[in-house]
Amino acid sequence: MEICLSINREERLLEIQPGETLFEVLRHLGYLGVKHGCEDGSCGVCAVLLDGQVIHSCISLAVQAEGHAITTIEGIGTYDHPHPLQTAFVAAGAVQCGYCTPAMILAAKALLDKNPHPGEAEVREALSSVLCRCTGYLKPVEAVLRVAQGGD
Amino acid sequence: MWSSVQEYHRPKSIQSALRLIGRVQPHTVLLAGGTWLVAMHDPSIQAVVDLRDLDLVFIKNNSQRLRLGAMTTIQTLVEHPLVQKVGGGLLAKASQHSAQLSTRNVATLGGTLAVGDSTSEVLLALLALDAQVVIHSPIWRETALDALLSDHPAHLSPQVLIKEVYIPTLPAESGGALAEVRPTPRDHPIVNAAALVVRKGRVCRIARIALGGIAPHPIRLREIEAMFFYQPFDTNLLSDAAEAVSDTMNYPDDSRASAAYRRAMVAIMVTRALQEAWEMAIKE
Amino acid sequence: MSRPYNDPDQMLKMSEHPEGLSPDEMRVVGKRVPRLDAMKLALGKPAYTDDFMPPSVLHGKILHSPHAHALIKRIDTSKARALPGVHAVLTWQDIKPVRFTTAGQSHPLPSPLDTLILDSKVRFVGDRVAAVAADTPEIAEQALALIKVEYEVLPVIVEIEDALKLDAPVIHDEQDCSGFEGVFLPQKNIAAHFVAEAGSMASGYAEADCIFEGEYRVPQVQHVALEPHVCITWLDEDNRLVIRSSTQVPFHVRRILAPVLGLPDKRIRVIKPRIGGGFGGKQEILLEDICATLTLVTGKAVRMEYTRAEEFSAARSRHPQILRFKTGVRRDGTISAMTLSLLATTGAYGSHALTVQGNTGSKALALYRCPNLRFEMDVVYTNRPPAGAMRGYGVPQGLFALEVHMDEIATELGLDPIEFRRRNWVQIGDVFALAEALGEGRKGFPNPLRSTGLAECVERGAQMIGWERRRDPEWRNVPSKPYLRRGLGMAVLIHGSGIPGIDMGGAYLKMNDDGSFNLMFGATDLGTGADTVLAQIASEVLGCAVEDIIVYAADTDLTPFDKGAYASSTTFVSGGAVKKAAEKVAAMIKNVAGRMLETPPDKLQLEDGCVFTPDREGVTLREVALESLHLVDQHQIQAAESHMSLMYAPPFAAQFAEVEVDTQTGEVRVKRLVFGIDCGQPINPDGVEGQIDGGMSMSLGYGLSEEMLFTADGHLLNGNLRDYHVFRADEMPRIERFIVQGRDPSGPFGAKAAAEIPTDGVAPALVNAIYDAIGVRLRLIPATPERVWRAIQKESR
Repeated sequence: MEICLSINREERLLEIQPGETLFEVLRHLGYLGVKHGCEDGSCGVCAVLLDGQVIHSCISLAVQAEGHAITTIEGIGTYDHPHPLQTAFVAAGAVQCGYCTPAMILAAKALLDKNPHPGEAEVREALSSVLCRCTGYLKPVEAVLRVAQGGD
Repeated sequence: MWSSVQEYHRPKSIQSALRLIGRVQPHTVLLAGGTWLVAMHDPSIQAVVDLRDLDLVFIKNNSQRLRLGAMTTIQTLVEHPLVQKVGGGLLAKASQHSAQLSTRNVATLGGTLAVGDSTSEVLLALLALDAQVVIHSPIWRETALDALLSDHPAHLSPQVLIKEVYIPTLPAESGGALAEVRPTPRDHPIVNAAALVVRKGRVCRIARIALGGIAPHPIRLREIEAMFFYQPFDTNLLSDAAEAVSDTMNYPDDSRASAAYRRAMVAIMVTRALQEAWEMAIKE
Repeated sequence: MSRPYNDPDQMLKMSEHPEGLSPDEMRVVGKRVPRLDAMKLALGKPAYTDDFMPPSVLHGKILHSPHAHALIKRIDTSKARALPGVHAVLTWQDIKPVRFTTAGQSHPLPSPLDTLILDSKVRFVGDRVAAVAADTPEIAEQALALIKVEYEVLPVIVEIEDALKLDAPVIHDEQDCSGFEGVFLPQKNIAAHFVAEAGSMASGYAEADCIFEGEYRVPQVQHVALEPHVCITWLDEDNRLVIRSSTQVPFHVRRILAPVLGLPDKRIRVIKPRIGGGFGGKQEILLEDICATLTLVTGKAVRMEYTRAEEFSAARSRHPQILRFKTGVRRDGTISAMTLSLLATTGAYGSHALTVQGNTGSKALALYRCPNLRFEMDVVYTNRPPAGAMRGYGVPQGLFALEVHMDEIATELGLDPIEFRRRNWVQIGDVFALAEALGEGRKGFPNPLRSTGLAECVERGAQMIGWERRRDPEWRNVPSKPYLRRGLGMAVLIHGSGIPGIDMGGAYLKMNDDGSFNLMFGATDLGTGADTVLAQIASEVLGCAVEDIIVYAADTDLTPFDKGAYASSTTFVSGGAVKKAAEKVAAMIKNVAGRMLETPPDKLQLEDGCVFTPDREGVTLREVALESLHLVDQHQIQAAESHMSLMYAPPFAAQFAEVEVDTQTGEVRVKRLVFGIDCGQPINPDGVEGQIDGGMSMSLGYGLSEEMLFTADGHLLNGNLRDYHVFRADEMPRIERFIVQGRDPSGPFGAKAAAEIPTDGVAPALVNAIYDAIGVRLRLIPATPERVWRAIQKESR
């Protein structure tokens, strides 16, 4: 079946099967920042934004995204123009193996877009969607708070 | 890929949805948020019916009840001002405790009900709030939430269409609270309880108590609730209630916890939830 | 002129800074340099194994055993083979049997050779039965379902003690398995047996005024790296087998697989891209053997990736142990004798059985001064998923038991827990009595301790956590919650910096026309920040920007050998090779620049990408490069060096924990953690802190929430991330950590390791804090609410 949705602000017409997950479709399209970590929505590294809210792409059917706006990590920054969150994560030492980093940054972006100056508890709640085994979440939380307090 | 699913429907009317899930072949189920259903990849399911275009996302209140559409997301229950007022914030708080943000953004009230998870904080809160459910099974009817859950020891069939849940309006001097035993602050609860009290002076007019982690679904303790009907709320009443709770039930024994531990915890959780609900009712 | 690489004088001077600078004066070493690859990963650029696919690739899947112990009587793959889209179906009958170990370690392999790619016997639920390669993962799954297997089910052993019973079934009864003599006793289900003693136990205990005994238990837990095991193999245009894999040990993979696949090493190339976490779980050959075999059979590229369910049931985990300490203490509070008896299980296969448990002994018995030491270990086979390397490598187990034991002794003696430890912990000049006996499968190298910052870690940590609050009864109560009690606990920690005499790494450095450098090494960054740390070391010596060092690593064709990322060796050992290579290149640069500047080379200084004379006349590195590559006496400025250390340079640390215990429910909440580390000279403080933060979280899970649970017939009950709880961002305690400035003469710029020691302390510290809060002593973890509750019930009778 054919569905129409936007990915990183680009309108796309996609040929998909009803049982395909959004995760599979995005990776096949080359959005490799979306990662595989589990199959039941418990680890979070497959996270993308749907209409600005963080969701697990591995437990969403691609067809459920029809008519919606998907944002992946590839859509929020480049080497020449990184997103402030990407800059902050790098500067704060918040990237270790990096496997959960795109998901964390998207989760943080969803929060900051809605609430530009959250407190630590709200930042932690936003990041709780993503499991990390490397950082203990400390430096990622610091990175997000830096952006939040920097008036971005 | 969920390869067995060959058909996806998004009907515009409830009749169409009912007709689709009423078919014998192919095996068709309802799709709400999908956080539970899609994760299962059940190979016997061949068609899904997405409920999103059926106008089931709403929160409306009148003087008698607060109506929640079945496709309302759990995160909406956390944030919506009308929901935050209910039971001293019991339902909003329970919703926030129930899952991570990313799951709450997608999981729905109806889906949560259909799964009926034994320690679901959302269901505990709704039970304590005396929620009623409007469903189509096999015809349109209204039923109390605890009756619906106890009628279905397994998950509610994914072919039963839930339209809405409503909560009777509470008087002002009421308070609600949730008490949980969790190995870590965000690990699944082993045992949990929700309580709601309505007071008049120092007397408890109504108490409602719901318990999770003991039965396949959360249950309401109506016999224990009866002990509180128009009684002065004091420590004697609480300890009588705790003892009665301990004696009443069979407690499961599994790798998470033993029966003896669950029995002991139930008494403590019920006591704490009632105590906290009462303290909140006093503040109101 | 060559000198031996293990020249002790050379190694002892490793800590020298270029031009005699002090730590504060160094340009990049000791500084928070952002990771070289951080932006790439934050942008989501393709970097991991599964992000690069050959043009046409088959998908491999494994049929896992549903039984914990069974013979495969018959296996019918005809229907599976006939399924359209299936290119290969393999069983034990299709593969020449060559026993190997999945443990990626140096030669000679210290783990028993007890594994076949596919066997006719299965030994745990999840063990391999067959493998399929097909056009899509879905077709491969369908093919698995079409394979018909007839099993003869055998009795199952799950509990550690059951493996040693006289009537226990022999799990490895095959004729062709092998291991070290006297160590490997498979007929008794013993994967590793070892005893070591120093001094005299009889006189040691005789000297003691009190003898304390305790038995402690630690569970089997999982790495939960976010990236599953994943591997892609293909035959290139030269008919060489290429393996691209999320592996910590690319060189060991090549060497170990060669005889198993029937290929010479030279026909195999292993490449490690970015890894999404490993923590020891990828110090194993878990998929490469079967994936490569499917490629050799089909002639095509094959991709295999584990699901999360497979990660839990068919990967590796931490060895669960039962530890018994017997400690003799003199009246003055000093230890006169200590025995550690260890019983562990390695699960169904013996990877890392000898070395993990040996490491338990070699660290737990090396923390406190004692001339009379005895270590006995037995590691048994059981029908559980195999244990293997996991961050900490036996030390989290040993230090849990030791530090709870020490706390118990302190309580009995009426001593402050810190004071009792202070009287006994090792000092400069001490030699570990069992160093020679416990050398990780070979003879070890006793040598004196040259640096320790433990006292400072403990003092500062105690101050930070407010250790004196233990004496304040008011503080123990939580206002408005009379059922809560607060407590403080601590643990002191020791670990290792590489394995003396075994670990080796090489580095190759060459200069480019623009004055930048290519740095190649075999060292394996798995998210540890190794690439950046090693570039910093080179940059410090060469006086150039870190960005001018282009790193390429862990490719068996293009980079020098490195034993891989384990044993906390990368900074200490691989860093040594990089430093040596950079020093040689620096000398060559100075030779060329000296001629250009008409100044003796030994008067020149490398600074800011230039070479300066004492009068501050200079040339840029680019000018030197062009001169040497193109103009005069043309040559490539380059160096290849290796490093192996015989030196003993353990890092030290102190862990403090503050808890709140619910005395009615047994729930334990860790409110604060404080960690202080002595890792000598930290090369990158951000990197060290990152290791501390992650290691502590892992230790927190070990102490509080993580445990693999099995049924009596060997099925894993909680093999998913909902039921196996890993701490999330919104439930973490408040964490503070600090690094003590130090310097060990045997590490590059004085560095010691930092990678594993943070996984050792939270579990014992929190158990000790629970005791402080409610007077109840747990001797096992995780401290689940029910366990604490039961201990409280028992105590109150």
